[in-house]
Amino acid sequence: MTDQEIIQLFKDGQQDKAFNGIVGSYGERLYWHVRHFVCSHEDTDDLLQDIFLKVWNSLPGFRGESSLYTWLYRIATNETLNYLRKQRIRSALQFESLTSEMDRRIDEDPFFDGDSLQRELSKAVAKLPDKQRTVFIMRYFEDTSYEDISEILGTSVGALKASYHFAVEKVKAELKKNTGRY
Amino acid sequence: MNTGKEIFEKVGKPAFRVPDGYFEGLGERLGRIPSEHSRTEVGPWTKVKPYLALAACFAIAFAIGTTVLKTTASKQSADQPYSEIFADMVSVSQPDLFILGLYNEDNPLTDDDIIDYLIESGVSAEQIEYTRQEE
Repeated sequence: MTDQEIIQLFKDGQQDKAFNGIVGSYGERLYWHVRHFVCSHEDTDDLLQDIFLKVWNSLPGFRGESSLYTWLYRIATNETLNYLRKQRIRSALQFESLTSEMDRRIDEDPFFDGDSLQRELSKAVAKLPDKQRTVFIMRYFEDTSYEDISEILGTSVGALKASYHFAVEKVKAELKKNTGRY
Repeated sequence: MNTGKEIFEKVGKPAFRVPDGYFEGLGERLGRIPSEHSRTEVGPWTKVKPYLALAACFAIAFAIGTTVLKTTASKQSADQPYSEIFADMVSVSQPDLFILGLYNEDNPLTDDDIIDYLIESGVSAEQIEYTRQEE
């Protein structure tokens, strides 16, 4: 189902069908978007439920000012970053660092088929600050254009390019430190 | 500019996978959300309530502040303007003498006094600074 058809269903008052259209068109794409942030399949699955619940509750407020794609990715990204912030606070309260917790999750994830270098890449990305991590994931993993990222995050293309540049530098440094490559 | 191409060439992308048949079931599970979660309608009263509460807080703070000021401020200074308090000390024909009399060789007029006066007179800090620089 295309975005136009989903929006038309929504305008016709068929919100359930519009929502099912969103799930069909974006469910898998948003899963991978979230998975690159949180790494673990179980956490992604839980978070995806919350994201789509938020989409359902926010659907009446969708005015079509931005594209459906931008709107959905904005909700998913914000929810994911909020989830990670909460995790960070929870880890701090337990006197643990989220970084080591993320490392552990990546190491123990049964749904990860990559080699050790790819595992290290995931760990390096998990260590990036929120903004840089978001840009890196959307640009490197998802091949999203800077223009689309700019619309989703509400940041200028120039700032995004700068964030991506620093993110790549940090990832390379981290890979060099942990694997001796680069 | 870093493009991340070097990382891509050597590392590629993380090979995450999902349990078998996960995406087939995902649509069905997420599709149940509308029937399982009835949407909470937000009425106008719910929207206005926080703003009213905020306005009430401001009103209470303002009322308390006014009451405190009224009870603590000196009656004379509040009721009488400055010129009236010193009316008997200021010459009618040469009112500046009163101010000049306050300053003599023992108590000279300083830059700070002038700045204080200008600020009291409503001259902006930028204008004062500009004038000082010109001097």
